[in-house]
Amino acid sequence: MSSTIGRRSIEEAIRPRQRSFHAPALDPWIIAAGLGLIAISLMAINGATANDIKGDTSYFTDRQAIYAGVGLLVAIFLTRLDYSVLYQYRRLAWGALVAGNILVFIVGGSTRGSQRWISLPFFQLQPSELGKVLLIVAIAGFGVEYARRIADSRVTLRLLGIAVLPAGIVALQPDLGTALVYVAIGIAVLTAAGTPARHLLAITAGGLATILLVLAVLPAAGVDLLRPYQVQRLTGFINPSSDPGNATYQVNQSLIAIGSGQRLGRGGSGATQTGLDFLPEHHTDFIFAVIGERWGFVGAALVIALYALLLWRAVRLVLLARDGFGSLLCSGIVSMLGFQIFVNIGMTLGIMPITGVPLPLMSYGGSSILTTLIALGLLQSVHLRAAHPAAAAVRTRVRV
Amino acid sequence: MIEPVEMTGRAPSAARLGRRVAFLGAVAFVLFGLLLMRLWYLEVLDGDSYLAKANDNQIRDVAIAAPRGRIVDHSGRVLVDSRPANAIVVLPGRLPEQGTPERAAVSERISKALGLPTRTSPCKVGEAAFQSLTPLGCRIEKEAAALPYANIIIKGDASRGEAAWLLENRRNLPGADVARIWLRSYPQGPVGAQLFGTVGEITAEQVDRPRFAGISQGTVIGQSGLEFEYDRYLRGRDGAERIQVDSSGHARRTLRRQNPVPGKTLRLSLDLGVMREGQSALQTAISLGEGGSSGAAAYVAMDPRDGSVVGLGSAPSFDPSVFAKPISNARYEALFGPGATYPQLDRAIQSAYPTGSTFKPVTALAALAEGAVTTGTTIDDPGSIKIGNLIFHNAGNVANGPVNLASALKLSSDVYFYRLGAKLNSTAPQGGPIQDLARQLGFGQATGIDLPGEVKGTIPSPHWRDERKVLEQECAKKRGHACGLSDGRGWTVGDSVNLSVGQGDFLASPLQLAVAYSAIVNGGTVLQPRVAQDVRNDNGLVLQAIRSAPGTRAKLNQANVNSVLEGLRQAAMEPGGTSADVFGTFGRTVYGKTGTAQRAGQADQAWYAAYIPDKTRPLVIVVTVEQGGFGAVSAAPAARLIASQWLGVKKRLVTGRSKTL
Repeated sequence: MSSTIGRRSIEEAIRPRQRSFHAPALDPWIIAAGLGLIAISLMAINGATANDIKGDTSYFTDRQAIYAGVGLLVAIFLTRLDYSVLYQYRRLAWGALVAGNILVFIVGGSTRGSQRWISLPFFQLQPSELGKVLLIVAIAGFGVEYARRIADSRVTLRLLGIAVLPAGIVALQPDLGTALVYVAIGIAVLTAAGTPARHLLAITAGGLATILLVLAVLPAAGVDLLRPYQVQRLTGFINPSSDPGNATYQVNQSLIAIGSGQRLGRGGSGATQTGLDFLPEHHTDFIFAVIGERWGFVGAALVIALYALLLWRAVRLVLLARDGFGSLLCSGIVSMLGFQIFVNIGMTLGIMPITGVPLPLMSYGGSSILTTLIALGLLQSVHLRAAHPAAAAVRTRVRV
Repeated sequence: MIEPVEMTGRAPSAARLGRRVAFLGAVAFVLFGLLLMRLWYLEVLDGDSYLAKANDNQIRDVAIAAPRGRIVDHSGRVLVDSRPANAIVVLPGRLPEQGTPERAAVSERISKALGLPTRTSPCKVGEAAFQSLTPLGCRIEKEAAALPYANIIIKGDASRGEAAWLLENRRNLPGADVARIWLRSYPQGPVGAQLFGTVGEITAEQVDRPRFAGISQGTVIGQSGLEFEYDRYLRGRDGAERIQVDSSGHARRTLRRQNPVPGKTLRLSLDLGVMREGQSALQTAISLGEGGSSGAAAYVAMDPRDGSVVGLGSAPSFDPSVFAKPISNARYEALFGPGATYPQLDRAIQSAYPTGSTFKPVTALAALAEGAVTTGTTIDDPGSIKIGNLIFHNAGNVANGPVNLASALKLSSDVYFYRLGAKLNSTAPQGGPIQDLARQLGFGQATGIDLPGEVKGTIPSPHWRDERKVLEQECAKKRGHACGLSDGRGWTVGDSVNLSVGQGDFLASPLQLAVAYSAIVNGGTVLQPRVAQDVRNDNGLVLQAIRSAPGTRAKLNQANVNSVLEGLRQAAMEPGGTSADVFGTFGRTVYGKTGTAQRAGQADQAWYAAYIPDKTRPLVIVVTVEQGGFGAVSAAPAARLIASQWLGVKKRLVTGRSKTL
């Protein structure tokens, strides 16, 4: 017997049209959005980094294409795998998540003062990136395991701890942005798992209090948990032009880049902001500024639309998933993608703080694109085995 | 395979999940809407102002010169260093358009400020002609035409005041700038100046050569000496900096910086102590010389085991730092021309001379190997000998009486070796056993030392004589008068007699002689001498060891070698030996041979070649003094001084009186 979250609700919420049964298939919209975003990413990286490495104009593009290719192979493999196999590995996934993030303190390489990398022969692995999907698998698994006692506040605390503990480790690396992604994943999975609303409200209140404590109260008391640059980056966006020298330089240059793109963009040769180093990290965290400058409002809005398409299809799967585990997996993925998209684009647009969160499928970086493609592979795996609107209707008739 | 997940008990109601998903979806919708609105505001509503800001952002790329690597002696003492300096430069690409008065004005203003000539005159560069330009303006046009993307260095070592003046007046001097550059400095002054060589910007012809592939215009490369030979290690890689400037040209911040990679340190086998002592000993030798005053001398000191050169010097020398600044033709001529006896010439490797009696051990070994004599054979030396219809004399017609091999070397009896020369004469094209052994020992060909411009020297033979005759005829025909390449004579026995004592047409560099002596004492290995030992990074870590090619072998019989060495030992140590005056009191075993070579139209050239065995630092040393007279008088005392320095023997100037050749 396969009882699932929301089987009944599917029938109510989706109201399947009466039509003939056809075999469950991959979600073409996820494929289209994913490939479209990767293509735009390669074009943007190629344009922005042409002059970065002397003598190799496509250095970053070539590498990103290879990362994407490897990621797609992994995604295809995951699509074929029944995601519910992963349930039994929830403890292993969490253990790997914690161990991997501790490992970087021991053997990790550091860039600009933060230890995030483990050097592999061909690749610099960022465990906190892959940790995002490990966390999703783990917390979705535990969410299912504790489903019976989901209203118990101890369960809520335990589930919250599963996300917050690794987030704390990542925050110490220090990688505040990724830590916040972990927390966002946790909250989304809790919400989908059915944690009582009052618990969720309490968590929200606690979170706000923590932010206040770290940014305002503790510094006043002389305890600085964050490094000064982190505080500047977190608060600088509120008034970008107040400090054009340092912390908000990037945001100002990003705003100039995007704004100067106007309706249709400045094109390849005209994109001086992102083509000439005014904006550092133009191929990683600020890749959206490249798009805004080169292809203007039209291009940037297209990218946002593709992300919206992707998220819509993922949200839909939360409801269509065959079982609770699939549903929670999808909710975690939705939260991971949605949080990163909003925080990253918001940062380039000057309405969110600088947190160093990559834009999924768009920012240069092997770990990031691999993680995102693993997530998309899992989505397809869920979709392939989902209560397809038509199939669900058929099954309902047969089984119930 | 995991069993389907059990979700019994108080599962959230499906309706609640639906509500929650709908809520999250709504939040996402609002957030995405926010992003789009913000995007619309930035790009469409406020785009113009951001575009204006973007246009105010400009960049300037600046090269950061990398210092060349140091050259240090074997224990790390600095021989050649790099020092930072300010240079006044002009970037042709940033000058006002060619031919405009604005462009001419830039060079005029700079000329005035730097005290350069300001009188204008017509200037022609290829096809282009300019009506009136200052000499500086003309130079800029010429250099810009040759290398359009290179900085033109107007003044390489500008003072602080000059640099400050330019920076203050940048607005009136478009295209001019102050660049931080590195200049070579030579803490040892003239010591070893010929060895290190010079550096300079890559020339228009060099840019296209494969040896310099990938080197951009304006890069400073080694142009001669070790700087040339080991350029790829010594040359660093220039860095670059991209600076954000506002529309008025003020630097705002550094956007990107690629740090320069300094050149590597080149460690030599040379010893600074020996180098210093060598240079001063050469001066001493020159002042001791009785012949004349050409003022030129050279020495080589090397380890006969592996060919590593411990000291190598040539006098007169010069202060290489004069090349840090542009030098006028007249001044160059005064410093480096014939009047100054060409101090840039490294006489230790770039000059070939007749070596006089220092060649005798080669003749002796050839004769012993041929069986022409044995060690016991005595030959009467009446002071002169008639061979063919020519009479050959000992120096001063001294009669040595009956001499054997050892005493002939000890006393440097010419008659003994004249006889061997006559006996070993051969009319075969490549000559006889003497020529054969000389070739085996490395004479007549470059030693392959890691320094450019080495001479090959000459081993005369019948074939060589014929060749020269033909060359002379061709040359004379072309020029209409004699070229002096040959007297037109064929090979005679007299040539072999002259060769036996290192005279006549035989020519060798001091380095070749040192290599040959090393081979004699090390069992027959003709080494490829080396000045450089390894390449290191700043921390002293060896990045690359520099190795010689394995030496070639000369066929030597050890018993014969021992007999010859015994003669050399007696010459240096035993009373009556040619250099015993000098080395008898040295306190160590020395195998040494004097030489006094006759050169047409000049006073005799003094030579001394010696081997001093030692467990850890054996030494072969060769000293020659142009027009220095007798070997024992000027060359041997210098050899003693240099050897003392290397072996830690108390230094004492001891001159000899022996008047043998």
